[in-house]
Amino acid sequence: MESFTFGRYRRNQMRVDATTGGITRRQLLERAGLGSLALAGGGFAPRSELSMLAAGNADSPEAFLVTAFQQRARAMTTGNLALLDGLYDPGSSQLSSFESSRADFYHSGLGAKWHARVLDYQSTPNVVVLGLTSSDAVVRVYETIDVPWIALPRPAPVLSPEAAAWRRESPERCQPAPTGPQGELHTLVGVRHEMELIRSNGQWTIIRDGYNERDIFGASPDFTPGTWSDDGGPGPSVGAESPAAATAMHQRRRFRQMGLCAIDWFSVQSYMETWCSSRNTGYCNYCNTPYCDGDCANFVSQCWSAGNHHWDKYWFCTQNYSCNCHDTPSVAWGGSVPWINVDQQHTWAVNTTGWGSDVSNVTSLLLGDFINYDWTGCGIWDHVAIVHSLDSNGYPLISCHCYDRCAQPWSDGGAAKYRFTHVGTSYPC
Amino acid sequence: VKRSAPYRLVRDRLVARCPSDVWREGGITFVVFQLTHSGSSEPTALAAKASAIFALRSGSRELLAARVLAMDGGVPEVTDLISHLGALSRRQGSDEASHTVGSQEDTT
Repeated sequence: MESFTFGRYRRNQMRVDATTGGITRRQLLERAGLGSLALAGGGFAPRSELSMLAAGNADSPEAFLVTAFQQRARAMTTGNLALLDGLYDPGSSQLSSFESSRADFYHSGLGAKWHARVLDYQSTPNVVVLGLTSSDAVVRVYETIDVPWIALPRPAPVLSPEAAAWRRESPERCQPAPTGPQGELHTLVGVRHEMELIRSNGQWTIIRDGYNERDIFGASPDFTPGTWSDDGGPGPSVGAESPAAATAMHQRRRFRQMGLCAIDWFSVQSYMETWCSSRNTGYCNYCNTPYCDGDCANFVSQCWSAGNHHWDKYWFCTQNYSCNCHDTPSVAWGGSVPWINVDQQHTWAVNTTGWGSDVSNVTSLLLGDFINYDWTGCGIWDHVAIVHSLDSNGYPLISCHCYDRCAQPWSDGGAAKYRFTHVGTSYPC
Repeated sequence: VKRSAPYRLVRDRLVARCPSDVWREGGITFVVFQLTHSGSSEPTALAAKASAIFALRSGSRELLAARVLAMDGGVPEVTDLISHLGALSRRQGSDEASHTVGSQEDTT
């Protein structure tokens, strides 16, 4: 555990596992019965609050962060790298140089990668944890980048007869994504930053910024695998759906109906949009926990469940499972293995229930279908994303957790192998 | 924190007037003080190796919670200072009330 001394008393580095009096901060709060308070407050600072803090105190690190992220986004939009001048400490030349290359890529390279014309970048930083002294700040920021973009025309996909039939049968599942006045789509990119700021001569500057935009421009030089910024810890949790409400909802869903059950696809999409760049604390969050490998399959299962896909004896949630895949149960709902494991989820959907079937072409996918990704081609499926909607050319846009993305082009940065799975509009129940 | 009634309850038992740890999560600021000696028997949790934890809403500085966590032989004991204050003031109120009643009885 790193620690350092400022002023009159010793202060720990801001980490979730920072120790205080021999036990971690998290343990201290939990033992004092304040764990839920930390959870409730541990999510996004509401946007207005951050702005308020920034407006109320121009010298605060929050005010600096708002300015810094906005300037960074403007540099990405305009390609004017001079906007980054002054944001980074002169001693952090490697980071500064990376940021320039990144801004340049966002300005002139992302459009080609997405086959799109990117209109703008809007960055909203949310301070999740902040440790502050008079001259130093250690901060965790969850940044949401709103990317409005227009898909460049490309030939309409050639659909297999089967895929064409699916589109005819389920028009609600092949609607184009909603667009703005210019016909633009909006993709949201969630990025977790572990940052250190330093203040000298009355000015804050960034001396360290660890984050990973794996599917876009890669990891910053300060990124450390296994930390909060790597697939995320509990940062963006917000409890819009309380565990109690979730409990009642889940209890109702336990009663299976006989016959053929339909999915409410509107609710699936709506859930996706609500929670793709945040966390519903009614459910466990499996990002960056020692015994789990991420939250992607959990998120896809939650979306289907929100569309009223009933649970069965294999695919379900329970409070009897822990949120770290290892020890004591939690208040939140943990998932069974087919609920939270990428490959087991596919097996459940395709083999166990027969609800899904693999297809050879991505253009056969509709809202609620899913894509498995094998980043390296080693034969292990690393990731799953759910189809959110289709772009104006009929190609899928996906949403996923860890890394948090909403309505992003389906390739998700590029994998060695993909597996496309279509699920039925209704399912035997 | 230092102007709050719960802080005054533990003030005499502080190892140092400076907090041992301060951090912010979301909209909540947590402030921790180390306590060493138990002093009076109330509250009983104020024993050696105890911590006082204060949670404040960051914007308004409203005190959300104030607890003392004592690790007595590895078993955590938690005292809610806000509830404890409430109990104290209720007891004080009832003491005053019974004293008044007693006085009335004396006069009759």
